[in-house]
Amino acid sequence: MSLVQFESFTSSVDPDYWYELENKKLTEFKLDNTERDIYATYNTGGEHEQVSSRIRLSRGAFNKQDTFNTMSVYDFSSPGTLLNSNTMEDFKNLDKKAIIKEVAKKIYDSIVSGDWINDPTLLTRFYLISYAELKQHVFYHWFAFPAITPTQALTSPTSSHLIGKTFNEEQVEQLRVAYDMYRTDNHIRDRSFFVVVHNQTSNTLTINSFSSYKEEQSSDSKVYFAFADPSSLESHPGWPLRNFSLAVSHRFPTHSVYTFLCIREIPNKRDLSRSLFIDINQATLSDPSKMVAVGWEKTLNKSRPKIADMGQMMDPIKLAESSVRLNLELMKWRMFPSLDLNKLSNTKCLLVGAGTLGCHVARNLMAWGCFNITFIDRTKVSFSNPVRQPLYEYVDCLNGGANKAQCAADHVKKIYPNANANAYSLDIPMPGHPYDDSHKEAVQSHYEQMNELIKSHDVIYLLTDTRESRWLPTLLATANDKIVINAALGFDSYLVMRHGQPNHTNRLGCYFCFDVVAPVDSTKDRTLDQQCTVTRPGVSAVAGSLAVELLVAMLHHKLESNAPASIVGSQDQGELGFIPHQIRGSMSNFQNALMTGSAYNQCTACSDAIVKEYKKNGFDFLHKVFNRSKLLEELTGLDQLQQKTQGMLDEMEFIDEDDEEYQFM
Amino acid sequence: MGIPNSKYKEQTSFSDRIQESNRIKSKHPGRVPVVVERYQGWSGEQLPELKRSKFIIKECFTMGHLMSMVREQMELRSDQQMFLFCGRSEIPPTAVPLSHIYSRYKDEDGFLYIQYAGESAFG
Repeated sequence: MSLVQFESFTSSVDPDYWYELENKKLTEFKLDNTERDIYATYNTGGEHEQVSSRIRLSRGAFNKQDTFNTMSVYDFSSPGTLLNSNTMEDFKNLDKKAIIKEVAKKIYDSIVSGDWINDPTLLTRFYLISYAELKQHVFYHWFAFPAITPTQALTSPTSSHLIGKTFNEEQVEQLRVAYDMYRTDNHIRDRSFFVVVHNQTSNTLTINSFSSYKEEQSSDSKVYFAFADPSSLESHPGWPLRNFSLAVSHRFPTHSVYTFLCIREIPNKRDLSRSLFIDINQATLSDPSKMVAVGWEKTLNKSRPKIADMGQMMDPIKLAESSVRLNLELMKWRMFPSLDLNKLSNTKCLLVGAGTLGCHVARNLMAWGCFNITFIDRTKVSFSNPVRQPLYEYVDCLNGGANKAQCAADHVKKIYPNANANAYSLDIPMPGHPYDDSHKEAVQSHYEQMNELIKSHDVIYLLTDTRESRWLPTLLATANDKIVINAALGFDSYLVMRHGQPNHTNRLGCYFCFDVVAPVDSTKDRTLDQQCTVTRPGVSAVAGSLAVELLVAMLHHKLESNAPASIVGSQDQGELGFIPHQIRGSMSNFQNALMTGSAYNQCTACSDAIVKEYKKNGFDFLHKVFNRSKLLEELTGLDQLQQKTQGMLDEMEFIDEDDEEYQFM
Repeated sequence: MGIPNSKYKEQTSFSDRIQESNRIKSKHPGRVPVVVERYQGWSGEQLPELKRSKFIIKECFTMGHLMSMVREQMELRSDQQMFLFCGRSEIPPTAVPLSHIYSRYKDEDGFLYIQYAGESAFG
């Protein structure tokens, strides 16, 4: 009589399983750490001892059907439970004794109730605890493969031996054929444990599932309790036999010795020759209250969790993608559950101007997972740029300077290779910037490119360094009903605003709605400090981030760009709170004011008069405006307003009211 | 931009201001008392101060007229953009007559306070 020893399972987890867990944790489970059903698979007959008794989790582990669909006839399934802790502390503090006892109790109950007959895979039920360190893509985990300990250790009256010692070649072949047919005809859950009946009179082998097997009374039949054995060690049967032998003893209590057939089939080789026979003496289950179970997986012979470090294995680009996503998904756990990352990642942003504002806007868009970014700029990177414009470096200034728009797009891709960043180097035609006829064609082509770009994007960011360069994109965006976010800087102040669109209720004003003069050339007759962006450096970073936050807030309002402007005290807010019309900030007192102003029916950029004229005459109209911007004042009637004002001023009196001087009109 | 400020308001007591606005309104029906001052919030201010900040204006004039007039008085170049605002957060509609603006935004002292500031344009 000898003690029977078993080879325990060794877990083997596909990287795909960890990707899947990471994904589910972020998007589905979040903080919910209740138990989840998972499904593992194992196979038999590994030719090498190194791969003996491997049990595997793969991508489909969270879905029974997915797991079954990917299984070949050489794979066997095992039902399990995942408990993924939210913190390392929780993971460490799990009561592992209690856990294995509880899982073993389920197996025990299925043996006692006979449930295992209908689903023998219940005997291999396992448990997995884990903690996912998602920032590093490191997964701490520990498997339990519970084996119930019988009242007395399992013993064998003989020693195990290879199948060929009992069966001749013909019988082995007969078994193989029968098993092939059995697997095709029966459900996956019956594949791993079954009964082989050898009728010695007729010398036939038949295979029965446990659910169909009726105990043979006839004395000329020999019964073998068979199971798919993951072990390839000749000396040891595999782990499933532990619970299986107890279940068989309990189910068929009249025997004193049971013969088990450990099926070890080399996949695809039609070879069962490494299978074993082993006799095991009758064993009994203890009282439920005294039940003991073992089975926490050992790693390098020690009781400790395994660590899967996917950070090193993952494709760096994939790693970047999932890490970026992680940071954003985390917002959805508690802070901002309705965050619509797909909407953000599908939004195409056109950045008109790739200077200080353009760089900051691009970086903030990326931080929100908004990676469709197109830059328009006509200049080259100059030596003064890199310190203020965070997409450029010193080397970009060498050899005359890199094309700014392209350089910005290249850097966006350096920061995040999956970004869809594009660049167009083009001159924005401007009102009051006349050109001679030889340039007309070039101007027209720049206008046409600009128009196509505006049509093909969802959001137009106006980030240029003059008033007049904002005019054409404002008009084209209005004509195409696009969202416009406009940001402009003063020395220590900034404006960040959204433009109203033609069909909006209570249409908000555009950048040009609040003054009564048409844009003209603002660089003529100006000193250098008046022409360049001379500002406190912080204003562009602040304005750039506000310009992106404003868009994100707007996209998270049910009315999107039609959301009413909110100011202090207003009830009308979106998922992210306020959606102001204008944010006017000052660095001199570190304050922001939220302002609201409606569209002006005499506006030189967005009024119906201008848009209609543009739609009617297209580039011919624009050509005239570029050469003479007063045309805008004539079309909108602002010229008359100015004349009237002139008249008023001529007539104006100064009167004294109790020594206070008033201008009287 | 912070709390709007007015030199006139700071230099004159509330009771004096209220008396004065009442007197103006009764003496000049169809006109409203308006104080137009440069916004003091930005140190890098590029717009000049108005020589005279107090107006008695016909109600039917629009914000656009007022703005055009302020521009003229400051001799603002046409490449300089500005905007007017009332209170903390309202940029009154450019096309709306002062009577509307007055009834909506007038101060409790009976004056309509309007501030002007230069518009930012750099990138």
